[in-house]
Amino acid sequence: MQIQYDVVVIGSGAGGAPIAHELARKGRSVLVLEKGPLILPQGPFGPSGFRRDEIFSTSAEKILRLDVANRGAAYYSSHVEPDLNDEPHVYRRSDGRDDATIEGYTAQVVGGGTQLYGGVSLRFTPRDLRLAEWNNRPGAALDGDPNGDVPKAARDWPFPYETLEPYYAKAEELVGINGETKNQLKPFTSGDKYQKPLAFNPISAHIVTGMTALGMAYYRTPLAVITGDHAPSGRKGPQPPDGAKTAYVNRYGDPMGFKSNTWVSLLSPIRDLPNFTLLPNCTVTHLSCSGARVNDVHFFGPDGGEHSVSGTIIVVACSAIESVRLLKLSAEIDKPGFATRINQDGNQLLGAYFLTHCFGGASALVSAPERYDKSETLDSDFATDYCATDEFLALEKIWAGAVIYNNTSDRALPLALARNYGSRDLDTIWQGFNENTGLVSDKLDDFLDHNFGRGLSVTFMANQVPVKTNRIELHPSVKDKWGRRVAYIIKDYHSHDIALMNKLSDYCRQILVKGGVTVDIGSGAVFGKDELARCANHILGGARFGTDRADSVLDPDCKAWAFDNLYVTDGCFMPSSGGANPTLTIEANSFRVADIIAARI
Amino acid sequence: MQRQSLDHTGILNVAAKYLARRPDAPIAEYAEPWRFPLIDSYWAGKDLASEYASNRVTFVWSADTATDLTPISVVGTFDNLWDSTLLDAVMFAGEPTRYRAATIIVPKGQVHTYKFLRAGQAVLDPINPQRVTLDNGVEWSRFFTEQCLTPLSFEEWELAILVRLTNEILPFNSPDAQDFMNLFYFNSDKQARNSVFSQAYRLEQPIGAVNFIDNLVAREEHYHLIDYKICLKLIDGLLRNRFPGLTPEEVSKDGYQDLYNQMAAGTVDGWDTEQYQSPNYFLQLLRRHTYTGVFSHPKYGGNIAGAGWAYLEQNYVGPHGESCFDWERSIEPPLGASTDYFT
Repeated sequence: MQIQYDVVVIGSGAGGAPIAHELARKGRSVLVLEKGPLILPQGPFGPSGFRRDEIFSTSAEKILRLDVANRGAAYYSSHVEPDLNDEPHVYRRSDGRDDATIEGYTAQVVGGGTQLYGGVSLRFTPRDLRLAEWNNRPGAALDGDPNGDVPKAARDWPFPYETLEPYYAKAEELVGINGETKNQLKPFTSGDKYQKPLAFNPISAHIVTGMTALGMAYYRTPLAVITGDHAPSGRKGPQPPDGAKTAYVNRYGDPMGFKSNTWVSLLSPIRDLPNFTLLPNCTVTHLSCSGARVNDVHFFGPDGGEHSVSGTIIVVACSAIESVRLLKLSAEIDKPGFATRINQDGNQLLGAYFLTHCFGGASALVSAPERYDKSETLDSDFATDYCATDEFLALEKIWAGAVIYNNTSDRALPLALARNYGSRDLDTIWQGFNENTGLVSDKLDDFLDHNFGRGLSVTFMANQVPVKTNRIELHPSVKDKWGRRVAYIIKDYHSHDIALMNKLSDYCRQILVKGGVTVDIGSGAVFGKDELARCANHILGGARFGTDRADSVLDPDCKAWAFDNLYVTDGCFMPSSGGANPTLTIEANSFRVADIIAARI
Repeated sequence: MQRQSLDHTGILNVAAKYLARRPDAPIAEYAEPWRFPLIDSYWAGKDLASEYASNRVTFVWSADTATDLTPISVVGTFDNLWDSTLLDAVMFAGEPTRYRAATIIVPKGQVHTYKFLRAGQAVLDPINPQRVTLDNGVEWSRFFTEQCLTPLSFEEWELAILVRLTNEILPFNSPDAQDFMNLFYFNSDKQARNSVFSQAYRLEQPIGAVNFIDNLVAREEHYHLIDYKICLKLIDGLLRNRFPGLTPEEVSKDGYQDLYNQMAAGTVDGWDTEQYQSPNYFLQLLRRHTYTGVFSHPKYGGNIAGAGWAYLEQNYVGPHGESCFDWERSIEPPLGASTDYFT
């Protein structure tokens, strides 16, 4: 095994793959280490390791055996999430006890979260990158912020939208996104790189009606699913194009490779380059440094054998919780060296200002006799930036905006319909159905008749107020199967978050009401069973970048301040979570950092 | 037996996740050891139909070290018992790991017993928890391939009660639904009837919910087998007490419905709570298993030939009678009609 590389990238998802792709194509020697497996799409050599199979994707029941408060609890995870008994995330509940949770894992597989996501690929708005400026303007007023926390907590990104814009376009082109630019609030200065969207599922006509009635300019939700041949990755488009619409999309790896995960888009196209190496099934245990240089990356091979490699440049991109965990474990092993440098100047910001998204929305059923084939869907059909304009923020007295989009593939498949019934998050799958023992026989028939092919939901995705005490730590006692301390998630919502979520979920509800979808309507913020675990699988912050080293962990290039050669490029870097799903922004920023690194080495 | 070439990365994908760990870790036992031997789809791209009828079975052995060269082979009823199949080293970055593996092709719907030979000495599979004691008292390791219709976990009398209990849960009680179920198997394409459909008639309950449960508690949820064993025994005794002179199979539909309602309410006359505390808990388990059985992919032993999916499509239609669940479109042939997705 080669042991010295130009760049060692830890993590093969949205944060790591763009860097590997760019630098390998520029001739640098690149090693990507990935903890998860390499699962290929269907090809000439055999079937895919991903299946259109509801049990394959969300497992049979497993039981938690760890020494945590919810020991004995049942859990259901994706086959590309860790077995919780082996490597849990632990979060602190509102009653102070610690539960293990599957939340917070984007996925552990080559491609990371991009294998499992629904593919919603939105840009952040220019305003999303300038929230401090906005919230400290004269006359600013917010609901639900009695102590004036929000203007103090808000941070501008160290560069404006215009800096990131060409990289958004690059990501859209290279990753493979379908959508339309019309009616989006964000400037598409570098041009429209979208593929053509597929016909929307007819159920979404209600969304068009609702959004139109409310004066909301809408657009086809940009989705990371190719609808035609995609030259940059060499993928052939779906034939017929509608063949990509299967409802096996959100929380499913795509066996056909139409869903644009970073393996099919960015890493598979470079896999044969002699200067590129991908090692899946390898767990990086820690980094070691001498002075300001990270010199060694230590990892276990697939059978636990110990290895180490070194790189001129090291990039950490394991998804924010695991990246913070890796950096903290490295610090724990080397207190005088690594620890001092990662907590540079003692600012204790590593792990702090952890962010997910404020999210929630509304859900209802279309009225009988209407019914639709929701198995012919992708994740979302229509979106609107109505709630992201400055005028809207001022009117509603919220600090930052949000995208609203509908979900189409949710509850489309029979097991999903039952196991998500009454469930609040990934930790409560099947619970609602299990407890409703009256749902049998003709009552079960009624349930199916009532719900099947009728569900329509609308979601908002909003910035969460940065709070220093929302953080990732190392758990004091729970360890993984390698004896390494696991990540400990401590977070809560700010009162302004609650106010904002209530307002935005009302707008989502109005879209359904005006769209004529009112049966069994419900709306609100999405909280987990204890309100605190739920992450929407958007894992951000914890190592934010900035211009002030006293106020950030990374400099504007995403380089750790006190290291010469350590970059962190997953969602860790965000000082605010954006009013949209983060994947495209993580990818765009990684392309930006790739250029910076390429100029250095 | 002829070995397939090893998919080294594919095996490491599973071995690294479920087997590799520090021996003194808090959870030292393997994660999800029921996954071994690995049972997966077989598709060589030459003859879809015959390949679909088989599975790839991969035996995995974890040696003490990567350099331990002790020969490991596997012997079992999938082959002549005097022929053993040698395991090869699974490679990573050009070097052997501690894992040894062999992949063979076995038809779907089969149950086999096997052992490893370690330097000629027969040993049970240390990873796979499935064990069976043969009539001669000797213990063997066991695996079964997809769409297995042979009872693994339950005896006839237990299956009979399960059929009645699960029928109370399933939404197929209306006359229309029953007609659909009966006709589904008769109306099928003749060729299909001779294969998968004919298999359904080996089951007392063609939709296969009970068969799914039997498979599930043999493998993925083996820890729930004890729930079934205890509760079916309690239910058997309870029904015989309530309906003297009738076997549980002969008890009426009303008898089962009453039992169900009492279990749901949590108070069941004649239930020995010392032996099993919560009949309601067992009912919840049974419901989840039953529902999953009829609507999951047929490879798991239920939803035979897609009958559960077909029921959803036929029964819950649009305002003009149009299909609202074209499940065949996305599912692999020959079960479904996808033209690009095969597995």
